Amino acid sequence: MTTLTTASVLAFERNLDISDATFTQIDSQKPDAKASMVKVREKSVRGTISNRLKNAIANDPTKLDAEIQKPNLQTVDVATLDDDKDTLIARWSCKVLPFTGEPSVCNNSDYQAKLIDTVSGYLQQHGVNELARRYAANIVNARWLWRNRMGAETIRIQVRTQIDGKDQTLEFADAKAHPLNHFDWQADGLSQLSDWIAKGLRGEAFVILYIEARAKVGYGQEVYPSQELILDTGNRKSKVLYQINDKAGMHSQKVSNAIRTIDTWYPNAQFPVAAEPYGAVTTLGTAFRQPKKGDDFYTLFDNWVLKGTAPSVDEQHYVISVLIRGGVFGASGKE
Amino acid sequence: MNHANYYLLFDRIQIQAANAISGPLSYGFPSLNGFLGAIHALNRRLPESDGITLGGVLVACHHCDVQLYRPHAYADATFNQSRNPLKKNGDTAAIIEEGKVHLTVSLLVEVRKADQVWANLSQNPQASEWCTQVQNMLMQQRIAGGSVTSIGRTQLFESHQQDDMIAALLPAFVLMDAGQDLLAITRELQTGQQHLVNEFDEIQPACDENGAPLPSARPAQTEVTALDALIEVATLHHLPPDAKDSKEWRAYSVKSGRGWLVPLPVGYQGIAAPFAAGELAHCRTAEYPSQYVETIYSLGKWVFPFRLPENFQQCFWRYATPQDNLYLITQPPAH
Repeated sequence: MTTLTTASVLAFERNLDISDATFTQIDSQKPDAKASMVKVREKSVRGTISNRLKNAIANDPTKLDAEIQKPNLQTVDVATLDDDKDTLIARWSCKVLPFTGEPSVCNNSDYQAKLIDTVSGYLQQHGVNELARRYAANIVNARWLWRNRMGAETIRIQVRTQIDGKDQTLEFADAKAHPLNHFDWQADGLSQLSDWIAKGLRGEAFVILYIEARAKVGYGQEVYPSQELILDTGNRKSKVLYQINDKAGMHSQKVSNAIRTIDTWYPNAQFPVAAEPYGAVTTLGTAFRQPKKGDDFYTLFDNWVLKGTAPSVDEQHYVISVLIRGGVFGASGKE
Repeated sequence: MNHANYYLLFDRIQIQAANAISGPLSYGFPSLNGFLGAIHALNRRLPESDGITLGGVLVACHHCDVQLYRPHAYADATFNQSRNPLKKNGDTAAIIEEGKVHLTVSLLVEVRKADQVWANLSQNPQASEWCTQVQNMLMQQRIAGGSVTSIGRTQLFESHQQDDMIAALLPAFVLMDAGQDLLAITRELQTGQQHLVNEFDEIQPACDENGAPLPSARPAQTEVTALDALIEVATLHHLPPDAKDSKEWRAYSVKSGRGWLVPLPVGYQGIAAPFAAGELAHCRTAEYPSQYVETIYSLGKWVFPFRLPENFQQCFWRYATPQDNLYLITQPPAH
């Protein structure tokens, strides 16, 4: 028998398929009024010179004055609530697809058989309840609102779904009461929500969750949709915000990064990071799981599947959560 | 070929972040393969016991939002990109350029049911149950690389309900083959006389009211090929004034007056001998034979449903039987 090698072409589809979040707004004093959309508009401002200047300029008053007199004009996109609306409504949907460990592309059938075998072993032993609970917690604590969560007074979360042909709704009155840096907390309805997610992952039902947050951020306050990554801006506008049919919105990638922020299993964990192959957090510029220490996804995964040495239970959860995230994991030499 | 007993309408499928690059040279809408492939994959997942096969697909687009940025009307458009997770040492990963599009499309699919047929379609519980079932299956799939976020409804039509189907598609534009128009343009460029496609899909010279042939705006070039004609469709000429005392320049394109023409990849041509299954290294799957191919281009046309040909079956795209190393998607006129 030949030794098993990682398939050179190997890819997983994401199992939590998340839509873009769209932003609308409402006045909390008139809860029955129709929500209007949050628009992205352009504003041009004259900035001050506030960056660090070279010593030669900073120490010479005339040169500094000359520098300060430069207008520093900027055009940026901005999104705010109207001055008579104080509540941001963000809405998105999450499809939970069955997770069996079967890759969407794999060019090595022996490897695929071993892989499915490994994953089904995990599923039998641990099930998906732990992961589902953490995903559910990240929906309920409104982590996915990112910066909008910070400035909000209260956030209500509503989750709707249809299970066995019956409409079901869960309400969470105060998302800000739930902590972001650990998962040891309970809330009414949280276990129900994680049940639905687990059901979807096990393939027992077709689960699509409709999630809506009502964040009270204040009249006319700024809200934070996603920013577009534009390679060639033509130097006209330095910030372009995401909009869907003229409605401000948040990229699905950004929402889904928050939902999969469940990895508290990396060494010396202080807070959860997103389930990523190297435990990468872009905003901190840090990879929390270094291959040098052997706790990154590829090392754990290869040891588990190829050599059959199962990592610790926590690390198994991590590996499976990366598979649920999806991605290209083949051994073709491109990371 | 057997005729379809039924037509299955997937009404207003919202697809998020589908691939906007349809071939090496064209962008803006996913390739036909994306839609036909999705229906083909759906067909393979249908339980065999149902005795149902899905056939050709009609593609109708309601809304198409290519994710790009253009600072002003004369600037180049660039695709909005997404940032990738960090590499293992914390460095930012390179940006791999991608083109994404958000779509609302309706797909009409030919359905052949071999065993006993659903009677009284609208009140048949079996038929509507089957519709819900396939709708959920399609929801769990990707279409053209994008996620399906919602499907308006799924409905079966009987083959005589052509008018109802057209009404259900409104308002939209249906993608049709415009190969005849390409031939007409080729002939026009070759002869220097205007040619049009008549209602019987035949190419004939255009005449004025006295029956005299109308000259084309460009002189005849006998060596013109269909490829030149395809490039000519994408060209806008600025023609100098004919008369001495006129200062009016004219803009001229050969496609004006012919409808909404678009370049369209319609399949592939093999450029090397096929490899047997498992022979090609690093191929995506070892189960099927593979071959190196190049894209074949033709001309397509967006047509409003009221202007579709009387013969409705002509509107459906189907995989043609491969021959002469050609793997084409065609709209064969039904016999």
